[in-house]
Amino acid sequence: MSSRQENVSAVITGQPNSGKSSVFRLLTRIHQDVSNYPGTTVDTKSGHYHEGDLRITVVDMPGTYTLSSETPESRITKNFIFSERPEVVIAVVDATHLRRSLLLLLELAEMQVPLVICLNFWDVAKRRGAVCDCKLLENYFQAPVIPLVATRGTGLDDLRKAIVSVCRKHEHFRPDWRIRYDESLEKILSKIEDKLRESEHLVEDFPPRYLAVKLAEGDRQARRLVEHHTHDDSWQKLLTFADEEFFFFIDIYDQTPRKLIVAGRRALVEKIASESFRQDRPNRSLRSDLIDRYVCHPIFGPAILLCLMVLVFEITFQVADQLAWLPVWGGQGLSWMTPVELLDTFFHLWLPDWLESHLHLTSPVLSSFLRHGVLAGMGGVIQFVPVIFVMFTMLALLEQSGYVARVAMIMDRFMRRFGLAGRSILPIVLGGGIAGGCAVPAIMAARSIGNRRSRLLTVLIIPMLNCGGKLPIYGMLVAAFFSAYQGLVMTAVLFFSWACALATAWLLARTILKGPELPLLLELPTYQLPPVKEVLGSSLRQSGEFLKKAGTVILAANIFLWFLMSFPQAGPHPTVPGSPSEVAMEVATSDLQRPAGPTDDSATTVPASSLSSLDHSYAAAIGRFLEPVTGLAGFNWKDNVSFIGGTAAKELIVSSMSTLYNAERSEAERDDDSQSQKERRGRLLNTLANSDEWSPLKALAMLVFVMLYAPCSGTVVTMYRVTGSWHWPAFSYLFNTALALALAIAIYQIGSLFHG
Amino acid sequence: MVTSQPTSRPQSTCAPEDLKTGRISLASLLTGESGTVLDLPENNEYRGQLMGMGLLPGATIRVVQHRRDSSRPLVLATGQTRIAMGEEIAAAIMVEKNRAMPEGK
Repeated sequence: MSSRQENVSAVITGQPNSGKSSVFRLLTRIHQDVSNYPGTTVDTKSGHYHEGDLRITVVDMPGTYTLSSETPESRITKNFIFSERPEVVIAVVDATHLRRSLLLLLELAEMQVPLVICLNFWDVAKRRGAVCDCKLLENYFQAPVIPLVATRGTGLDDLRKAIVSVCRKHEHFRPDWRIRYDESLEKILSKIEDKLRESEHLVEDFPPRYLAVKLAEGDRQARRLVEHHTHDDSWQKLLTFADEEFFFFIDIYDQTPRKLIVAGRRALVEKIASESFRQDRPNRSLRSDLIDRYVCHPIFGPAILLCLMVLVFEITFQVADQLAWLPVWGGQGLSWMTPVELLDTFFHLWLPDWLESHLHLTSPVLSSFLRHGVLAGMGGVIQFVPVIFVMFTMLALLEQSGYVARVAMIMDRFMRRFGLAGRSILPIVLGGGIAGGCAVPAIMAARSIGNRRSRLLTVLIIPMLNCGGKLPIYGMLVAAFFSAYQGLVMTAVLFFSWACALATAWLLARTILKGPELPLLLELPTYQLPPVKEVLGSSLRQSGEFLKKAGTVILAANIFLWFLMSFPQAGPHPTVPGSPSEVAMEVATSDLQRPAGPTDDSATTVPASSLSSLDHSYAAAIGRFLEPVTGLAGFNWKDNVSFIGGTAAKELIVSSMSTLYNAERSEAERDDDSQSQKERRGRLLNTLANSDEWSPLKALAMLVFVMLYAPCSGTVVTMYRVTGSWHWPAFSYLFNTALALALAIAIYQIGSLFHG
Repeated sequence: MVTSQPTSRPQSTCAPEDLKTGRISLASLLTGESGTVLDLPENNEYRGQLMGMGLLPGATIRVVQHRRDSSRPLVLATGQTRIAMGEEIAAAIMVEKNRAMPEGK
């Protein structure tokens, strides 16, 4: 960095969905500091790039429709521009909706800021036959107008050149850009302008014309600016003078100055629009209207929604986790695996075996730590990625096509009763609304909910649903104790989880997350074929973000759990991996969703020989410590240890129980690792069904407990990232577990009364 | 002569004069009817959003879907834009009902 570098700053503003973020990324390619994800509705990013001897800092403002309202986005943008005085303001406009953005452009021009206008989505606009006279626009706004395709980088050079030229001009001239309003208004505006000019400090900081217009509009922020930027008490006289002029105006003309200003702006918008734009092709909105007749239909609408939800769900989990479509060359030739299986095998078998043969570790503890702690933990994190990637791709396809807005509209009435948003239905379904799913991508998907309260509520109830990790234990319990009514019980479980989730949302919406019920207002964009490149780009980005940010914590949680369950070591049987013919996974790791029943051949096993260490481990000690309380729900220390395992990942509950209960068999059987997963499960099923401790009542209590108790480590981290603080995951942990325990105890105790 | 403060105006009141001039709330329009926007709710955070979507005073709007009896949102068209909104917001937007056939803009 040369010492002769000049630092300048640029601000990016524009309406939401104008592609601002893409322009930001385009300019700041490598050097970015992206702030945390929106825990608030407002979020700014900054980055920088170099152009010759200029170091240009770019700050992205939250999208806003207008600068004349009191919304946080509008205030933040204005405050930033006035306090930071950027050398250039880059206004990003959606070229396919130019007319709409004209108002914002006029407001920016009235602020007399150094402006560069980007017409983004230029390619789409051209395809739709929209024609725009850029030269004319440049004349109107006295600013460069750059057609742009931000996602492809088309127009970047012109944009950079324009930025530099505006930066350089900045010091030399300040265009006194103004809208000519009705003569009657102009008279008093000039008077106020002159009065404002008497205050030198004020004029240094703000264009007098802009202040005069804003005061006439009744803009509260303008009044505050006058008050704070006059260095003596003359501001009171200034404001009184202005107010008197306005009241006088109203008296004479019987309407407010604001009305004239609005009318004047609108007239100019019409003028510019009619002179600069033309739409050559017949508009597409008629086709959208036709589609909407079915999509928004009172009966067809929800039906289509249901089908699409199921479809998206199925595709996600089939592609990521059920269809074996990846070819693998092994000892037996070509075989096929699912993406999750492949990653699972890699981290639990291939990589550990390879490392072991190359590292020659002498200590079995270190070997176990590497294989069952670190590598398995890493595998646990990376196994989320196929599901996350596919799910985000599906969601992005839905969003980009325009369908999600319709979903928000259709479900609004129902969801709003619980404080949720119409579009909450998507993350809820994907997080386990249908049997299976995963809370982690679902919570990440909830970020797109604009309303903070609804977003939080959605995030908080997702862990209560039936994610794929809970299905193995559900299946086990139902098969063991309700075998005659399996389908019925599973359906009941599904409904019960929905009931709990919605009831919790309802309760929280009226207590901790009390807030005003905001009426629905959203735009239904024209349907379009989703641009594949953008869709894939965004899924890749989000998956990468998950890995980077959540990965470390999940890994740490898994290692910690491995420690709890492996120490203190007892006896001459250190942890030993399972036979190579099966993919064995240790206790402290997580597998990913298998939305199938107990006959599933998943890799979640705990080698039987590790039981003795499990028996004497810290985890077991904790389990025994908790027994007095959990005993009220019928749970013993073995169940408690399984639940503890479940806090790393829910899939581990079954495998932990399998080890802990099956070990009551003979020593010989215990050392026989060649049993398959299926056999183990079958044994567990029999053990439980024939045990004196167990009963349908206890199974029911456990079902409810598992359904509702603490979210898994992946979910906790994701909650933190999405809500922006540890309060909510902590709350979720405590609240959910308390609720789960209370219900389980109630079920067991009340049930016991009936059974004598 | 009516004097009013520039910064506070009561929302969506329908004075007797309004009936004469045909100034009604958007919520009174039914499917297929169209109107011209006269006033947006003032001092309201929705104002900016509505304007940004193209609902400027003077704009022509056409109601695409509105069933008075159900609480389902109202869907309207302005230019090429389609907007879904709750009854409360529609009630605060004042329009003048158009007698002519809706323009297919």
